[in-house]
Amino acid sequence: MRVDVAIIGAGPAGGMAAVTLARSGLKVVLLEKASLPREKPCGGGIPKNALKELDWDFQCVVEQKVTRIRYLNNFRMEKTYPISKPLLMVNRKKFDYELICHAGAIGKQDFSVREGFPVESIEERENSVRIKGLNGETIAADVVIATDGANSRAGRQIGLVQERAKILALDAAVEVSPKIFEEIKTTATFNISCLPQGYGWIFPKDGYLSCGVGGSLANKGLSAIFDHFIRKSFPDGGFKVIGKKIHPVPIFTGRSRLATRRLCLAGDAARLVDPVMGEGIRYALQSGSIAAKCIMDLFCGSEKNDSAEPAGARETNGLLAYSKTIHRRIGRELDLLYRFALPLFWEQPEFFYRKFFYEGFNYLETCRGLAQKMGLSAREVPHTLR
Amino acid sequence: MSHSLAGALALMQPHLDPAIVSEKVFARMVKLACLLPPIYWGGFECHLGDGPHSVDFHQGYNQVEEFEKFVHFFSARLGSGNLDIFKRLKRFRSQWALSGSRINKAVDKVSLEFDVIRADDTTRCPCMFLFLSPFISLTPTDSRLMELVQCFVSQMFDEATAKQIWGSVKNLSLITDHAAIGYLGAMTSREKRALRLVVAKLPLERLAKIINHLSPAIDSIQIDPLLSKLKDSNCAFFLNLDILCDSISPRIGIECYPKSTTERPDGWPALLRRFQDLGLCSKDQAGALIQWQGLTTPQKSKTPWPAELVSASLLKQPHEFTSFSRSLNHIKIDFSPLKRPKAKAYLEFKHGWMDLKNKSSEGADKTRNRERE
Repeated sequence: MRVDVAIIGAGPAGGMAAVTLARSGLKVVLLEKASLPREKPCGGGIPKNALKELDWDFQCVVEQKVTRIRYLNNFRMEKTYPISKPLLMVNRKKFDYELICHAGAIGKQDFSVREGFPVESIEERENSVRIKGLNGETIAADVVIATDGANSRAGRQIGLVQERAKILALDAAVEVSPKIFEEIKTTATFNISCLPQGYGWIFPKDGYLSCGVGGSLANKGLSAIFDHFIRKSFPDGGFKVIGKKIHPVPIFTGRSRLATRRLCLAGDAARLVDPVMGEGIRYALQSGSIAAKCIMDLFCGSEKNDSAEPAGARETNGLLAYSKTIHRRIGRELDLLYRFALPLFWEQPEFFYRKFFYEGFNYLETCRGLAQKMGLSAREVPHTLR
Repeated sequence: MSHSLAGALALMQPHLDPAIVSEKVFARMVKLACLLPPIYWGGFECHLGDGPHSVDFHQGYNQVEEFEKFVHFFSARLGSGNLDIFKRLKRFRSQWALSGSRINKAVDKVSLEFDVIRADDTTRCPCMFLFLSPFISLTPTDSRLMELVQCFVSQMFDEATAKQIWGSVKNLSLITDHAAIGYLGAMTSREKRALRLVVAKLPLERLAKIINHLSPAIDSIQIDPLLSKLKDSNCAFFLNLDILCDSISPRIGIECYPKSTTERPDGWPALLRRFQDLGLCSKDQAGALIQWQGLTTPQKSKTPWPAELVSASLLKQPHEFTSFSRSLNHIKIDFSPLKRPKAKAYLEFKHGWMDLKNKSSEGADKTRNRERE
């Protein structure tokens, strides 16, 4: 099989890349190791700043609209804020599948999905990338977007992914009594520092709660920590935990190479995750879209990207400009969080909580202000310290 | 990232060339720095020339409160298996904190030197150095030095060792006019415990005579050309003497501090060229030492900035921001009987608040010994 673009992984980054490419007329295949729709452990909150990527009506997969956010510092110093624009809660299984279905609806015969296709090996050649499945089938693609998650096999095989920092998260569905559910069904709870260098969350979904804990690898026995968190969050009992799942969350640790000529990484595979809160959906959608636009620019020259290269250079460099674009649009922001917010969150959690959750300062805005104070140019960091 | 000095050390790594600190040694230093509190004045003693490039690590304390923080932090990390070390450190802390005590009156700041090779061997007490301000003159009529030494040795050594070292000091015949003691050290991590006396304000011409007098076994053929090469180097020289239980150690050191002048604000390149000519330092090492000097700011660094400094930054004025100065403090030449002289470089890093209004850096640029001028 020969295609223009192969996307590995059916998460938000892969799905968003597929949606964007579906409009291009390029022949695209999406490869997913599991059968679709597939389960995905995740809190499933779609931040409001991620919505601009989603320009179609996907309300059918929204399970709950959160209008209040409740913060606690290890079960103390509670503070609840109303939010003007609701935070959308989705079930990742349905949400990820919706992206693929939407791409299929737009792309029609140019877009295909190969589910149950675990990638065994990947090899970049002069004129194509050869992807070999575990079943022995080989797919040749002009370019590849690897969105195969925190442990990105494709990234490792191609040499873009080295030893990487991670945190671990555990989440599960929790059923509570109808009375309790009714009380908290529009409230998302963040319990900061209920475990060292991490936090716990309770997100309302469709008749159940998505609960989890996540933090640095120093936390031993995440399952016991989760049990304690749930017991303490619902002291009257009457809850039922269904299907605990542990998954790695990559930490962004500074600028790194995210592309070769014919392959680029997006989403968790590119470590594009808020290093403090572990939120990655927004960056996955954004990077999937950027990757797709870089490819469209490469093939069609119609889309503008940040590289501003002439057509000849574009062909020679392939996707190499993607790294630069990602760094400019996403990496700088994550770099600020990694260098200023993360040390504070890990080492001075009390201070962090008080300033950014209790007093309501935005930590990204504050980091931008700090960076500006420390001499970065105003163009790069347009916001001031509050 | 951890709540210790290791966070600051990580910021220094990109500036430490493997010619002076190898990756293996750096990894050991990180392990050690995890045992030390986030007090941001530190340094490295790097061996130059050929041979094994071992490194010692320093942490400095400007105030007794910082030293107290170190004692608590270090003891919490090491546990209760090293009671003797902490007894000594706590005894010293009490004397430093005691208003009117000889140590309280004489000591400006303190630094500890940790042996990186034995980073895992925490049963040894780190060497301790007391920086005096003002320097104490070495005249028979001035009893301040003897009082200070007696107090210091009794805090830092066991009773028998302290008594013996005190005996050696009393017999020290090196009483020279116009000389003064710049700092003192308790060399507690060595097999042979010693008191270090660092004599300032000695002209270079007298150093050869003093070395010959104290350690006749050191070959004057080695000393004379070396000192003559340094003669017009525009440096201040400090003499290092180690007082053992029964004698003065035949190993003697000379510390060289280039003075800055209007024509030559940085005297290091010229001095390092002389060291290269003398075969005490390689070209790569000289380059690495020059390269080390500078300023580390959050803007330039790619490494996470220490949390304490981020939170403090949020409280500072808009024109003040956090930075680390990296400087070369001095180079020491060690003379030992029957051995070629060896050189060691003393690198330093220190945190300061850069003030863009006054275009100065509090602390950051004041790390070189003011007194040597």
